[in-house]
Amino acid sequence: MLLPGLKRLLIGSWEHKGWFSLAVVGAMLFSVLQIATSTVIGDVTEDVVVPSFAAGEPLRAALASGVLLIIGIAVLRAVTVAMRRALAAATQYSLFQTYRNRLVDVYARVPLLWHRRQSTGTLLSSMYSDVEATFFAMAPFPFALATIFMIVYATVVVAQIDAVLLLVMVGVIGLLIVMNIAFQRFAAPIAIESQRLRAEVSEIAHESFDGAHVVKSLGREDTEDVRFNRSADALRDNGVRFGYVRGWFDPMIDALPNIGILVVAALGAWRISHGHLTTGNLVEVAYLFTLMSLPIRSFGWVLGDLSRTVVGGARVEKILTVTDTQTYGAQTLPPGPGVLSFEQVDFEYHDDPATLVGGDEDTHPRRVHAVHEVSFIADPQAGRRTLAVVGPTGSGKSTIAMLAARLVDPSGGRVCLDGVDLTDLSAAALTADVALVLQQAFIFDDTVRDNVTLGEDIDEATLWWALETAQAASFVRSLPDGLDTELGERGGSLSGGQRQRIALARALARRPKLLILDDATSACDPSVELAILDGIRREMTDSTLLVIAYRKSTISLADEVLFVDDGRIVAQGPHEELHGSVASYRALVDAYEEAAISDALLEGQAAEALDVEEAR
Amino acid sequence: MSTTAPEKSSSRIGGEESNDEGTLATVRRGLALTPAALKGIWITLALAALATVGKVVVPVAVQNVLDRGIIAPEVPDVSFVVKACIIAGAVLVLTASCNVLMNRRLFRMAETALVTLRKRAFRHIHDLSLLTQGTEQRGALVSRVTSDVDTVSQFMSFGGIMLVVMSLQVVIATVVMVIYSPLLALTVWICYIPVLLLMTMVQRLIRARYQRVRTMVGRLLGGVSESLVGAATLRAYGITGANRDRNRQHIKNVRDAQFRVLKPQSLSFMLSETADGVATAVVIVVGVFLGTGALGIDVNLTAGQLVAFIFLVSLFSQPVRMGIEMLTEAQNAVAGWRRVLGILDTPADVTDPGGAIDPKTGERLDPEPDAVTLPEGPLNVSVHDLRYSYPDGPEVLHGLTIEIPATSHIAIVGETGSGKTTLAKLVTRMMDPVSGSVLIGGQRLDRITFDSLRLRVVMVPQEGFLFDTTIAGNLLYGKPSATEDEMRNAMVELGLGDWLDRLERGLATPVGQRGESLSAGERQLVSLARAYLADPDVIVLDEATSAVDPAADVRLQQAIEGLARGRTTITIAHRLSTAERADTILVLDQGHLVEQGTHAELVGLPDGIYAGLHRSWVAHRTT
Repeated sequence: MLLPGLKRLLIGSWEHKGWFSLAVVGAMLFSVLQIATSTVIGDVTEDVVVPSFAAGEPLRAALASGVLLIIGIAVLRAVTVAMRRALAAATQYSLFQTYRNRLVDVYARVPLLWHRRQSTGTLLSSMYSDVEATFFAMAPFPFALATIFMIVYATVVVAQIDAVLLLVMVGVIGLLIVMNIAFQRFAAPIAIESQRLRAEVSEIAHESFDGAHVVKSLGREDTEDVRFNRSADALRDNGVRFGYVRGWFDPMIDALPNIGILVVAALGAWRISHGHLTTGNLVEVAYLFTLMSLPIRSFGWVLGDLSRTVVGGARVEKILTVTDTQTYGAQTLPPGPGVLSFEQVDFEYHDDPATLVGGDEDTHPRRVHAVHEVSFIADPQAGRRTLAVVGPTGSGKSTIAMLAARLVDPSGGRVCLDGVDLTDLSAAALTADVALVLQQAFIFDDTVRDNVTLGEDIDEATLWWALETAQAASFVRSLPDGLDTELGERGGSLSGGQRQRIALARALARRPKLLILDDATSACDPSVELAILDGIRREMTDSTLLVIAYRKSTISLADEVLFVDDGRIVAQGPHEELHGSVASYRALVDAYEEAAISDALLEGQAAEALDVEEAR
Repeated sequence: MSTTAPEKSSSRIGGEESNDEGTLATVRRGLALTPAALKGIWITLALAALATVGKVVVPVAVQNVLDRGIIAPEVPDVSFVVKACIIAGAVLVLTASCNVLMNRRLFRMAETALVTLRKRAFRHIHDLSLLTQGTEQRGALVSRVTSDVDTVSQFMSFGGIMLVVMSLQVVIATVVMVIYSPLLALTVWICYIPVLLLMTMVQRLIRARYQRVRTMVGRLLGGVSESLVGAATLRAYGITGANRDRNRQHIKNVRDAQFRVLKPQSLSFMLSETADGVATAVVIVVGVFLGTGALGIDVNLTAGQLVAFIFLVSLFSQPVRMGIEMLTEAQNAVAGWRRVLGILDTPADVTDPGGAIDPKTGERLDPEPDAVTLPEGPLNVSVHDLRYSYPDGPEVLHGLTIEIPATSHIAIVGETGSGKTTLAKLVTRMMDPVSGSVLIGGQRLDRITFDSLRLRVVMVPQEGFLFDTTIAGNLLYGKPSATEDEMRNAMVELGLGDWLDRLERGLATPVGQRGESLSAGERQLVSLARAYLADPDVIVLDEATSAVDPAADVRLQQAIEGLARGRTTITIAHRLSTAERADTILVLDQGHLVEQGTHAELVGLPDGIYAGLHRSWVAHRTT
């Protein structure tokens, strides 16, 4: 604990060495000035106070200069204190920034699947609490380092005076180290548990607030209370346990220099009586011990927090060393028709608890084979510009959409756009040419405009065109600030259908070569959906479309339908053809109609049933 | 997205920068919330006093041992020195033991007080209405029950203890100084008074700046939480980089806010350090003048006494210095504390008439006298002149009046934004209307105890949010006592048996964060089953099956109907298959109820909205 902790602090110090070294200089100057203060007070006593009393009147000139000297040193000391404290804090805050930046870098660089496995609350907790824990001990660290100089200085001085007193000195330092090792042994497991529990508390809080609507509607506030309280209480108990350990460590560290002085006094008296030591020497040594008591305590503070440094540091490190990186190729997409091809694509979800940052009690690695040997081609030139993926809930459709957008990479086979493997495309090319609209529209806590442009330079005309095509223009116009209306976290102020349309406009505004809609209009009214699809077909004439949908009107727009079940393509062809030849397909897409007919028959509304038949 | 983090303060939850309550007021208020933690505080303070006596007595004793045993006599008085050292050592051990005991008690007190605060704040956030919750980002809310509380506990476990000890040490040092020389003691205090006065101002500045730090930390966590939850969208649009820069900006804002604290903080350190020098100097001057009789007052001050007093000044100034340092740290804790208290200060706007939980005591209040429970048996719903507008927004529901007979099936249709979800939230009391009333089973909705209401009136929201546990774990939210068989039966009754069987681990399948290991449709299936297990008498489905495939949807709807006999069902849907079979269809348009009737009645209305919607539905269905 001791060495890894110090190592981490030293690495941190090195990373902001400018500020840190100045802080150490400040601390050292402070220590020197402290010694100077005592010397000056001693001198003033000897040269001014005592003679004044002897003379029976103040020696004004000497008094004035002595007093000014004392104040002058105090001012200098004030400057060095501020220097040491402020610069140590600056180092600490900058380290927080550096490590937090690294964490957000990782959060941004890792592939989607990594995020799917981690708990949001835990990652948030690392962002705040673990980073803080790592460098909590940085604040007293410069002072503690300066202390080493003082200790060395003191040891040298004492060594020249008397070997016995040197032994006391060494004994005190040795005891300090032994006590610290004992402390670390007790404290470390508690500190580890504390950081874990902190993450757990954060995890539960985040999830619980995220699902607040469900909690309310089922009246489960008490259940959530119990769940949260269990972790909060465990954290408290652990905190108390840590306090108990810390509770005896701190007073002992405090007492150590005092005990040292008492031993020095007793031994010193004995040495003097045997003529091995002068009184002046003993006073000097005792004085050195007094001076060292505060620095030794500050050393104790650093050591006391080392276990947290190690634990927090390890948790942060575990994230920083994640090797999963979403990598991109270097290729750009040549001008081309936008042919999307899946070649024998397989995809397997791996859920290995070992990769969890927070750890998990459930230790079964889980593999789910979501997509099996899927092959198809969407080729606008061959009359297959629009492909629909149809299948029952949970059959792997969304995974196909994510593969096509390269949110995930196939475990086998390849996905190509105009013959280029998606994994060879550069990030820029991929974003420019492929847009995916997810089933669950994610809206940023930002304005309508920023939600559509996502910070890109998209002109007003394109913006409105996209909103218009997504059937979002009219409601956006009626918002209080139009395009500049703040939508709130996750678009809280919008209805589900409105969120979907903003998300759709976001994709359209990029005029991608490949547009993937993953049931992206499910929350819209049928008429709105129809208008959206009409608009897309009319406006997006250069885009290849991969559409995941259930509605027959949507499906029938497609040039070809992929019917998937259980991760495999079970049938492929134009809608009419599948409808005629595949019974399970028919059952799925005709479900509403069948229901309507049977309903109508049941309820004796034969007339409407006839209408329906005719319409067919 | 702009790269500068937005400056927003739309949160309606208190404890932000604008609040300038005094430090002591915050601490007093914070501790008053947890009287239990303060039990035996006198014992703790007595122990603290003893521990502090040790801090003063030991240096004084050491000084004396050196003076009288070694320096003063010609030959050191070894036996005196040894004896004195042993006594001093014994005192040291005794006071250190007191210190240990005091630390334990203080730790226990602090942790107990804080866990209570943390738990109450968590609970109260849940007791706030959806609307109030929505004014602050989830991550920021989380920060209030995590990082803010941690800030307080970190301080308590070190600075708080020091502050107590240092304050006592100042008192004891003052007492000792007065015993040595009242005049010189007064001199020391006079030197420190201007510093202490200045310090109150500086501390206020520090506090305000720390408050900003806490707010910035809240925003940082809010921002990071958004990028974690929105990971898929960020990646689909290749804006992870821009988003990362935005988070970096949040991080920088935190750092900048922290840096801004450094200036006043340094000022306060410098003040106290300088005051030490000034006090020593003044004491020397005054002492010399007094002692030599130059001032004409005879105080009997010898050179030796003055030298001893100079030593006492350092015993006084050291704890003052440390105390001020700790007080500065305390401002950070106070800022965090205030944000936690800010939650408890935020009024719960939709409260349980059956006895809301008072955030100040954690106790459930007595039921309001007119609180009622729902009558046994099927429940009807009647809505009268219901109006609603979001805070600072235009009215979105304009006086709806609706009768929903018990056990009937109602479908609400209308374009997105027509007020359907708002109506659903009002009927389930997720929010309270601006005016008008809702009666369920003849009882005023806002008088029905939550115990009764939430048990029998359940809303299934569209998102299908699942908790990060197994399918079974999620179903238990609907009915905590459900057995595995009950859960399985419920799934089978809803026609989900096949789906469940296809999952390798069945009910034990983990669903992942927010249920994201399942598809959106599957999430909706589970959340529907969850509500179904709760066995409510009124069930409100807000597009609860929008992501489910048509065949499963039809099966579900039929199952719900079968199961719903005896229940009142309100379904918001754009898949009009539900509407077709509903007893009554309500058509909303821009917050007005514009059509009402059965499918047969409405479908033929010329220019009717429903007729239009239905035409397009049929077109969709049959093309």
